[in-house]
Amino acid sequence: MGVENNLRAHLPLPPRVGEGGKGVEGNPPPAAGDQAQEGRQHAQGGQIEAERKPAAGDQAQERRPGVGGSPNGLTMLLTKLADWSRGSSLWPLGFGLACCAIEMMATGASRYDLGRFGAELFRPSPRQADLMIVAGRVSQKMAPVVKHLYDQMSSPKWVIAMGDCASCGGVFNNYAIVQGVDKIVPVDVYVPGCPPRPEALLDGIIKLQKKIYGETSLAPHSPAPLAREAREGGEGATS
Amino acid sequence: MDRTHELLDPIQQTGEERMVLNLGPQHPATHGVLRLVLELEGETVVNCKPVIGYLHTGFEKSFEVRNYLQNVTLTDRMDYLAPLSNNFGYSLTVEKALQIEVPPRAAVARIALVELTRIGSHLTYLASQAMDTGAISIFLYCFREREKLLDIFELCSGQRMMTSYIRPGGLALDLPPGFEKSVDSFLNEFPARLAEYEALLTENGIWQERTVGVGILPAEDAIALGVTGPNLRASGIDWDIRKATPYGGYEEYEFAVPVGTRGDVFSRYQQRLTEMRESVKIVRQALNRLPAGPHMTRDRKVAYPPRSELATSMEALIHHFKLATEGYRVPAGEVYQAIESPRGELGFYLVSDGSSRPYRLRVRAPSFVNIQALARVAAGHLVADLIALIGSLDPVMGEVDR
Amino acid sequence: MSEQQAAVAEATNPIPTPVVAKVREQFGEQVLEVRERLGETTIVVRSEAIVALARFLRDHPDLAFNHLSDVTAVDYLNLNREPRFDVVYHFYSIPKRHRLRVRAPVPEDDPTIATLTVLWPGASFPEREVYDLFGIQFAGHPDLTRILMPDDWVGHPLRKDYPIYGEEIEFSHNRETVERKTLGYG
Ligand code: SF4
Repeated sequence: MGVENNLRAHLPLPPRVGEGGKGVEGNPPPAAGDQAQEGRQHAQGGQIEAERKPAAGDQAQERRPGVGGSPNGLTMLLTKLADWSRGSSLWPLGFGLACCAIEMMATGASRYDLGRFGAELFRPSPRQADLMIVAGRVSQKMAPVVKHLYDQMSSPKWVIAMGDCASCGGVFNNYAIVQGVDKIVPVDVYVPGCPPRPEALLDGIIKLQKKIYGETSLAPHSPAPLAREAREGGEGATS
Repeated sequence: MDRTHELLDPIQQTGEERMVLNLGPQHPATHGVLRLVLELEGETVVNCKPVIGYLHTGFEKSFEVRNYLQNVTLTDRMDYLAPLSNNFGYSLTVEKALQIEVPPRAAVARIALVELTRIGSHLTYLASQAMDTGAISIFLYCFREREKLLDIFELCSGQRMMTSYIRPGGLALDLPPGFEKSVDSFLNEFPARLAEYEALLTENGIWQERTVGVGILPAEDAIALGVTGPNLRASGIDWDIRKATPYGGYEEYEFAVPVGTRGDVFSRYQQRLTEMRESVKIVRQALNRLPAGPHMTRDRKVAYPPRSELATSMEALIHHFKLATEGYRVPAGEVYQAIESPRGELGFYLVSDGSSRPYRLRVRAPSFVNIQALARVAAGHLVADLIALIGSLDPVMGEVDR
Repeated sequence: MSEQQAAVAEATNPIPTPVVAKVREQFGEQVLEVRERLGETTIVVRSEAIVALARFLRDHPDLAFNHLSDVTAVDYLNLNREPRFDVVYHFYSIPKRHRLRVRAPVPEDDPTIATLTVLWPGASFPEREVYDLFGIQFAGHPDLTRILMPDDWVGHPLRKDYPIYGEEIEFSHNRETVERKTLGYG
């Protein structure tokens, strides 16, 4: 129950049985594999889309009826559970390009302790990572490699452009540097700064988490800029 | 005699079971975006070819379109573990070309800051070297210490890393109140911390297994390959530019130049630890003699007029505007100035055509040359040792590729 | 220049007049020019003589320039100078603590000079860099390929006739034109 309480603290979950409203009805939670599968079916039907933006403080009863015959509350719970777990345990790809990577290391180290936000587990292999922090300038020679790494990561995956160079080329407006990593991979969050302070990177990661919490995570990840969707959906989901 | 082949491609036996392995540019143990093409016989490295350029940023081209003051900001971003060293080397070069002098307060502060940078850089070396060999706690400790240094730099300049604080003519701003106190407290606790790390590593059996006798770089090969800095001294050559041809006032400080004997990974590790201790001594001396006075040269050709004048004098305002937009002109001619950066001989070669932008500014980056030694030291070792070896040469890719 | 600074400059670069004398004696005609400025000595030699000179500098016991600190080049296109390039070498003597700069002019139509890797294997990377960024050939270099730019790159970025490229910067006054260009409407 600890997990559920934790969830309740963060997410607008349907109330428990006995607290009023039709809740989960005591169904045993399905295995993880089932969740994903079930969700994917819904997502392919495109029906779940309608439920992706819960308003702040929303109650389950007010939501639209369930889809595909499964109980509304359960689907919601699973979607939210998947979002929550994905957002809360981001596994960044351990790869640094330039100066920003040093600040990224500092963010992971003792003082700033990225582990507090569940994103400290830098993975050496792109296959195991779901967050790519592009920390530094991307040269023309490196660009194909970055793209390749991104392609190797399995979905759902997110990208943070850390620093001015990764965001827009920074001070290096010349032949050698790709003017922004968004020319080659879709970027979810831009963190400005040269280099961004560790606090700024943390803020970027928290923003991304909000975005993920608000995403219809069971649908295939569609890379969209942070923009409106994340702000509304994300903050709605956590407030 | 032509030893090119021997040094760059040391083992030339024609084994039959050779495998070519690509390491990097994304690899957790390579520092930055270094790529190595390895030829292996089983687990043994037969040949190791560094492939670089994955961080080529076009610094030298960018220098040519910016004026001398703007270029300070670019130098920061080259060797990003020691930004102040780069600022210092660049400023000395421009000052030499301009023939201007730096006020004593700035000169002393520069030495203190550059030596603190050296400590910070060596700490990062230690952190990553230890992490590569599996000692993650050292990484956390070293970064804890480094944060304190970054606090000092931030106090001075407002930025943690890319300070652009040392400029041609002096310092960007005066040293802030509280500078001496924070440096002092750092110096007081740092030696004890260093001893702690040493206690964790030096006598540690695992550490010794991984480092002693691994990756020996003989002195003559080091010279033939152009290796400089701690890597060269660890091989037993006594050459430190701070002592050999002092610059920026180093001749007034007392410090020793430690020299290693064996030239293996362990020597290079000890070399850097000792250098950190010497740096502490230098910073202490600098702190004790820090004079009062201006932080920037009074030479109006280079320095902005003081704020107070801007409000009252039209000429000062115009002059300020000219300096900020156009920059100062540097007499035509060429200069070369080398400093001892944490990684070795960092040289700036400036060719000026008399305008306010460098005609050509070449950076002799120590890492770029040092990394050639990798092929020599890696031959005959296991792949796992190679990881320790890259760390021990301490290359910074920003500087290798520029 | 103040006295102290002069002393420092002197100490940083002791004027190696004996070096120049020895080089002149040995190479006579090949030495085109000798410059002394700010305590730095530059010798300009014919490019054909570079290997012989470097070997002489390295092996002569009084000179002992055993450290080749840098190889680079300068493109004089904008200054309208013939020949167009100078390959610039910095030598340093670790035992004698002196420094020397050697320049070797290289013409545009045949930008070739002999490699120094035969004397210092460490010249390999710097020479490759000069080849990559200036297009100057080093005859006899064991592996003269591009080093910083991708292998299929066209052009030599540090030449003066190579533009810096980069993107046009968008301000409020030119936003529309820049955006149109980015979208490909010219
Ligand atoms: S944004 Fe600044 S700190 Fe980050 S990689 Fe670029 S130059 Fe370096």
